[in-house]
Amino acid sequence: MTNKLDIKNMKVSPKELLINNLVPILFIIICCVGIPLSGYSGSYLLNEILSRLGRNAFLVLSLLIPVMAGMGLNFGMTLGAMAGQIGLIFVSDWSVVGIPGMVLAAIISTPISVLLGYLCGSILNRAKGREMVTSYIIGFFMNGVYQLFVLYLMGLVIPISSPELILPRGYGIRNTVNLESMRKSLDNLIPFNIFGASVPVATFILVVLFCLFIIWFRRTKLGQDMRAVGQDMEVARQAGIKVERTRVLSIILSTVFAGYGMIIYLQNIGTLNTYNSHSQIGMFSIAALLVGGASVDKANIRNVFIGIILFHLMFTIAPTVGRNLIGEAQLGEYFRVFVSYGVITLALVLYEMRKRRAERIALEKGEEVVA
Amino acid sequence: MKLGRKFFIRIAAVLIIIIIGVVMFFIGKEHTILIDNFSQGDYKALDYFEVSVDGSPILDMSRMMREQFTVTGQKHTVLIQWEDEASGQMLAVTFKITVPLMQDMVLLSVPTFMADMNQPQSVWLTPFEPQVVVSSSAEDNAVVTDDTASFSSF
Amino acid sequence: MDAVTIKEKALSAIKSFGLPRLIITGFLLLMFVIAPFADVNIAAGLTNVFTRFGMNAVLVLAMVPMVHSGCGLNFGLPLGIISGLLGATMSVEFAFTGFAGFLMAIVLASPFAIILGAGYGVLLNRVKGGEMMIATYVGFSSVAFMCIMWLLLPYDSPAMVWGYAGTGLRTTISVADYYGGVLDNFLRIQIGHFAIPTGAILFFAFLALLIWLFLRTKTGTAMTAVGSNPVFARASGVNVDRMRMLSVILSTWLGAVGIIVYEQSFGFIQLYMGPFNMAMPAVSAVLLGGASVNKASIANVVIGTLLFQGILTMTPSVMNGLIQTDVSEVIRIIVSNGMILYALTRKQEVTR
Repeated sequence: MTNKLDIKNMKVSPKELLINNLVPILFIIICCVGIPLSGYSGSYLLNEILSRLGRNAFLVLSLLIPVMAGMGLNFGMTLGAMAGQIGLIFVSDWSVVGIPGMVLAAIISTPISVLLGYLCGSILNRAKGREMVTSYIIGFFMNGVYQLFVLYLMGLVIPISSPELILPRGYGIRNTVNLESMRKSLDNLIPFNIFGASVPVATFILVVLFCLFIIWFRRTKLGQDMRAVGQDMEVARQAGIKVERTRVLSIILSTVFAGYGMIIYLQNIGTLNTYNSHSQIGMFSIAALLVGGASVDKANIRNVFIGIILFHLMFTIAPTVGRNLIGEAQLGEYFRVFVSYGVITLALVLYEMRKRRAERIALEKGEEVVA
Repeated sequence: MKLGRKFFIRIAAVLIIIIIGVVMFFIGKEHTILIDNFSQGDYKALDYFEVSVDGSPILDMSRMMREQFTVTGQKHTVLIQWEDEASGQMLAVTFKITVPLMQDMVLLSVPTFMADMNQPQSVWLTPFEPQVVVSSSAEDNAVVTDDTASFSSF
Repeated sequence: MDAVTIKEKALSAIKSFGLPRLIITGFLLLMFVIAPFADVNIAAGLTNVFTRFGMNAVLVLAMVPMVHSGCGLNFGLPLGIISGLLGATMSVEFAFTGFAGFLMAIVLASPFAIILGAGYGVLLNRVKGGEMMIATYVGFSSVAFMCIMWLLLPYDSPAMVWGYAGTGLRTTISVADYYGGVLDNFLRIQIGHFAIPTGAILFFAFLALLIWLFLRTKTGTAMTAVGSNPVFARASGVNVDRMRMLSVILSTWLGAVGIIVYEQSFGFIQLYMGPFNMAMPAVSAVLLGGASVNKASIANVVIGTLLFQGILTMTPSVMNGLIQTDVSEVIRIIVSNGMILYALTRKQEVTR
């Protein structure tokens, strides 16, 4: 790995500023055009956005720590989501409900997340320079292991007894797990309404606490180490930082928080799709973060909130706009899937291009010095 | 190996988390209390009474009725109000029950309880096992593991 | 020769063969050994393996050019598949049947493959070093984009559009009346339960031979040079970007042909989300055959496809016979992604 270049402190022309913020600008345009076409009322949209902000913020925030450590966008956050789901399956089986159920699920998910995060981090240490594609494949790989456990071993080796959870054949968890007894228990803990939209106050409090944690964490020794590793691994190593350990820790933290995020997300939704709730969560969280103007090597809390608002605004209005424009709601659904993937593609391409340009400029400068 | 202070703090932290987990289990465990007004042997069903569990809205109960309350935790307060036949006055009784931790459903037989309120809880509060109908068609056994299936549900 | 050198030799042989490959080959052999005890007909099993080999081999072959030029594993295979689907649907739309339908599908798909491949190649040239992640997402975005297009494009063959609406293509389209099985049934060898889809295998052999020959031409060797040492290649006057682009076009075109071959055997054109997860099996098959992120040969394709499809076809039937449970899906996920992980985490023999 060659030394990483400081892209942030380069001079930016207006054109570059436009290119650097291309993704958020595109989204603002999409939303500005789409909202009148959808015909939704302001209070409906406000309600949707508040609810989606509450349920997704924690998940998206969990991506920030690996970015700090220079490991890119952690597609392996699905591992945390799986751990969270396993916690929820257990508490549903024991019929522990409401907030205590969520807390218990979080406690159960933690050791699983730590283990999975450790595995993921160790593998990523062997694939330096292509962390993203590797973490992406780890997500798929672990999905297989998850299925092995949930679809075959639960009820057979792992004790799950509730007939509402177990498939009629006697083992394996059913397609959907009903979380009705937990639904919105956190969101509605402190009821509050504004302009006819309900505000999930308690969820927001947790999100704010997590933000404060991240801000505090940046200043701790470990946080400083992570940023040093993210800047330049070799320099960090010479400064006596245990690079590998720091990187693994960043992934473990991200995985654990992603697990908590998933629990918060599912308490809002109210049903757990055992075999596919987790599989797309990484993709959508990453897309939201990128829409907020983040890139592979730079992401902050502001990006998270702008991103979720813009991305989910598009997500909410797309099917209706599709129906109103062309008479096919399905079209809008495909459109939003396309936009989600397109955004990630665009952001990755822009990042790589910027990186290459910075490398070239640095090379030219180096040549000048030599001359 | 020298066990430093850090080690003990970690052990303590893990223990505290486990204790929190256990406490969550106790207070968050969901139970169903069935309030039953069927005749039990010598104890005849009451004509009419009102019932509430943990301050829930009051439900009217007549003969041969059974109502269910979903509660969390083990200790609950039950309020029963009825009209005294002799005096025509409304009487009320409030009492506490403890549901066994691992028991999902209990049945509270009000006629048994009213016959003699000084009986121990085990006489009028009995475990109840609901009968589960398990269908076993191939369709029920099927699961969707296709990861593109969740696009529209997001 | 003493025992130590034998052991060393054995170890180095295992090392060069790769431990995962060894495990999977062993597993596949084990499947064939226990197949009779699970009431599985070996002849039928082998037939399945060969049929699926014919179906998938060209898609796996599509990995080779891009790996050769150093563009990494072609996770953007769906782009090629989409070109193929465009050709296939147009061939059905114009009602070509039989072998002509198959050929027309390839001919009609080619311009799309070349144009899309060129655009994809230009893009990949601007993101050197980050190809794989971007390729994955180019593939996904194009699949999602085409989902919209399948609804909107003005197809009107009653064999393909939704009956009640009259517009928008169906999710699956049968090619039985068009070019279904034209390769599989060409010179088909059938002995009892055992059958070989000769045509499909010959067609693959023909394409593989073309690629093999191409890699030995001047352009082909230049392409390989770009992949193994771009600095040296540039110094010796090779246009690196042009070579990479050519390899991407070639891979995309092979992907397009691959899906048409797949359809003639499978019997259906799968649109919408169909191509979404098709890159992973092809990638892991070539890796299973011994390829790495920057080295792949025709032999890797053949061995890999046989092993991968062998596991895929034998495990479900054997498992079902033994324990009445189908764990093959889980095994497929773990094996294919485990293989990719193994390749990604290996120390590279050639550093770029």
